[in-house]
Amino acid sequence: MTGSAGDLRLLTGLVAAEHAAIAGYAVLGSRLATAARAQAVAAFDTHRSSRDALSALLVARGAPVPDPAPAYDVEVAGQAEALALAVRLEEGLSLRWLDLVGLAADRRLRPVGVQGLQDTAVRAALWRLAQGRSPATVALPGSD
Amino acid sequence: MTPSRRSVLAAASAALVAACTRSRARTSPPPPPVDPDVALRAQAVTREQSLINELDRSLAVVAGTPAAALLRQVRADHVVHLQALAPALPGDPGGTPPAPTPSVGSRPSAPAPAATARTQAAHRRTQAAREHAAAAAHASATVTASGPLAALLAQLAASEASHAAVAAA
Repeated sequence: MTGSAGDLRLLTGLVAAEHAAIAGYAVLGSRLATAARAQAVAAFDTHRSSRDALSALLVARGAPVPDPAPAYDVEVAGQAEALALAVRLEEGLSLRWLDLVGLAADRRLRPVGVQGLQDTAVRAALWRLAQGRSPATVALPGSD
Repeated sequence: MTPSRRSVLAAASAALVAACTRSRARTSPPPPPVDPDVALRAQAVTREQSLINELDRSLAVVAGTPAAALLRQVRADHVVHLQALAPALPGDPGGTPPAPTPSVGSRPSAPAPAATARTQAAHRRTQAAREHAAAAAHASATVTASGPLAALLAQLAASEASHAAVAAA
């Protein structure tokens, strides 16, 4: 199986974003209290699964899988910053999942993008809830 | 004089051609291809309006409670969804945002007998289930939609999924 250049760019960008999210959660989880930490661990695991699934899609299309960056600039001083970073990570990913839905030439990728966007929107909302923000939801996830 | 076989065939052939020509002339031009997005948008509008109507009924019951605050925020998102879907409205190709039905819950909270915690929880659970169902329906519709509409429906599905999660939290 091969993929269009545009689809490969979308998938490659998503894998890179998942690498960054995994690195971010690895750092921010340790700054959270117990309940929120469990939420971060679950998100960490989900992002690893997502990265692996997306990598498999690239491999199936004969494309290289991007490596994680050598280092990520992640500094989290405390719980508030950790929660803010978690929201930003999910919001950033939602942009890429939305692109996969709207721009992928291969329509088989569309349900993958739809599910990814839903998952990131849910996690972002739950992190905003943990921040005490109101409203915790947004009308159009994935919009700038 | 008896017409020759050749002349009879020629006349029949000419009549046949004429009939076909008339037939073509009478036939209406083929209808323009149906845009599947039109129906998909209209169905999404119906889902969003239904959610707003259900929210208004719930808000009338839980007015003035913490649950009402949450449901009002959810309702505000659905109004944005309706506006985003506006071009689908019948007879309104220009995309004027629809006017959501008047809402008891969207008014400032009026003094009302406070719903019990159990009633509030029940309305939150019910709303979570409705949002979950709407998310699934929007997501299904992305399969056959054009790219831009699929992206919008995916956003609506994601928003409804987050409503369900927050209402159930």
